Amino acid sequence: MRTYKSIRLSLWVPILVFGAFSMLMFIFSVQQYERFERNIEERTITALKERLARISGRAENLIKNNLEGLVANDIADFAVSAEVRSIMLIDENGRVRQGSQIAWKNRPVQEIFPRFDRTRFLAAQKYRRPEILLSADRTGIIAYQPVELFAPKGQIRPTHIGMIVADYDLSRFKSEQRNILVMQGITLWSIGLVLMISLWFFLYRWLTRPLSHLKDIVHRHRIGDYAARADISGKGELVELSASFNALADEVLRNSASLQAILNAATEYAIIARTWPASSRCSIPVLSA
Amino acid sequence: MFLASLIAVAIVLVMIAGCPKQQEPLLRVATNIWPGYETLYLARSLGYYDEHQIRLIEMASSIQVSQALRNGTLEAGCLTLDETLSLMQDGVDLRVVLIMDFSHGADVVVAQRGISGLPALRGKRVGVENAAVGAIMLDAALERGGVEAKDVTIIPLTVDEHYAAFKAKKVDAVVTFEPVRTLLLKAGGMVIFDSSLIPGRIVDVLVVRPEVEAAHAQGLKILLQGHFRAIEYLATQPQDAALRMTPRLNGDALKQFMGLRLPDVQENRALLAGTAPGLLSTARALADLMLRRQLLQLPVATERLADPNYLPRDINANI
Repeated sequence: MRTYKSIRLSLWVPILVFGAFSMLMFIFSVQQYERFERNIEERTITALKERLARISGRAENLIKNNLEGLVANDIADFAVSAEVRSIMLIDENGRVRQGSQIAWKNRPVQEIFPRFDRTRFLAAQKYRRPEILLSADRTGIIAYQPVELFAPKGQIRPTHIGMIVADYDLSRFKSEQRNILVMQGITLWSIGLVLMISLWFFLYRWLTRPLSHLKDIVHRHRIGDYAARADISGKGELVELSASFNALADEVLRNSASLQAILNAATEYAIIARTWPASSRCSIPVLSA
Repeated sequence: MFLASLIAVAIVLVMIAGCPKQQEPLLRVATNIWPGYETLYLARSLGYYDEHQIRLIEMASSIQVSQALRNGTLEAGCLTLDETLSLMQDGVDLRVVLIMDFSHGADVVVAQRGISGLPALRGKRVGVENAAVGAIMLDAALERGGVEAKDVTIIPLTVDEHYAAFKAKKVDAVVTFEPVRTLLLKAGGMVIFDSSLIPGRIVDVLVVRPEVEAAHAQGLKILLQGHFRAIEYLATQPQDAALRMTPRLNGDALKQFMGLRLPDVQENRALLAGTAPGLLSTARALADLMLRRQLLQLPVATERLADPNYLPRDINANI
């Protein structure tokens, strides 16, 4: 015969429900965060491109009009953003002309900014288009925006191409977004926890307690209290089970009474048979069942 | 039931432990170049500030600092007291959390060779940051020279334009301050008026927007502590401090501090704390003067200007 395994339902049903809910929440949050992250990166890159285009256009005009000093104002304005770690205007050889720190002036960019990528710088210089790169850990963006510095004598088009290099920090913004997401997750999870406790309470009230009562009645029958009856009201499987049990108990009690009567009669007969004289045995009335 | 309660408690504890740590908010403090503000940069160079918590924004002029504070794009900035009052007149609510320095000769009127004194400014072109401290200096200089504002041609110039304009002789005199003062003197300029003649009138302060104060309380305490530690370093290790400041100040950094007085923590406390903070009487007197001289158009409420809450008790204690 096959053995069926069972578990404590009142404990495990809420836990399994909550576990499944938590798992779903986790998968949803991870996916949501991934989507948020990509969105942040794409929007930041687009905004950065626009800002850099504006600042480079202004810088070119100011340089043309011998007002390069005013580029420092634009750089300082740009650097006010909490996300901008550093920004600088470098010449075609990679020396800083203006930067978000005055002390950087005339120093080679590699000294100040170790993550400077010369290949990208040369590519931006050659094709005169911005190079905007996400860092390997996706917490920052490094942007190279070409700037026409000046035209040598006898040339119309400027051939000296400098660069605005901006180091943009995404970690703070991403961390803020992650915090919002985690807080939302925790709120939903807390609601799930409250629901789990409620489920546990209702299962205890409507499943564990009636089952425990039935178990108690069965125990009382086992020790001979055949008058004990299950008292479960309402609707549902446990009510039907308790009614069936009560019917069974009634039947058992009835059968038990009949058997007791037979047993009593048999006992009485045996006594009479033993005590009556042999001559009178023929007159002993036949016992009816 | 006990087990279920235990599991619920364990889950709650895991959730509490998993709560995201709030990243320390970034305190952005803008300054223009001025030796009195250099202590903040010295503190940064000495590693007193965490770059994720405090960022010093180097701006070309105090007008740019004022604009950023006006727009609310900065948490704090270094300004002169008169600039602070001008901003407050325009409805920008600010608190002074630190008196950085008193100008005692570092703000000057430098004239081209041949202009012997203040009365000789009559009919001349004077370059000035007219929206900033320059207005106070020029006003005081003209008053002292017996010259009226209408007798001079005022050329508005931000401090980053002073040297080029003076060198190109686009101005006959310029109201300026260190480190441009040193450059102009090297270019042949002569000091005809300086801030030592108007003691207490040019006070440099660190201001904060009160709406962001609570979120940046820790950052402000570290910022102020770093400033006082840098002053101490400047006093004990002047040569190294000068080396660290030279790239920003151009020239002899220590010499530029001669026209300044840097108040220590005790003096700051006396000026900012108590029922009648010393700063308030200075601010009221300055506001009255500015109103009289039409450098302010409206009276400014200064009662809540001073805020001593971020001054350190011990400049070497861990915050």
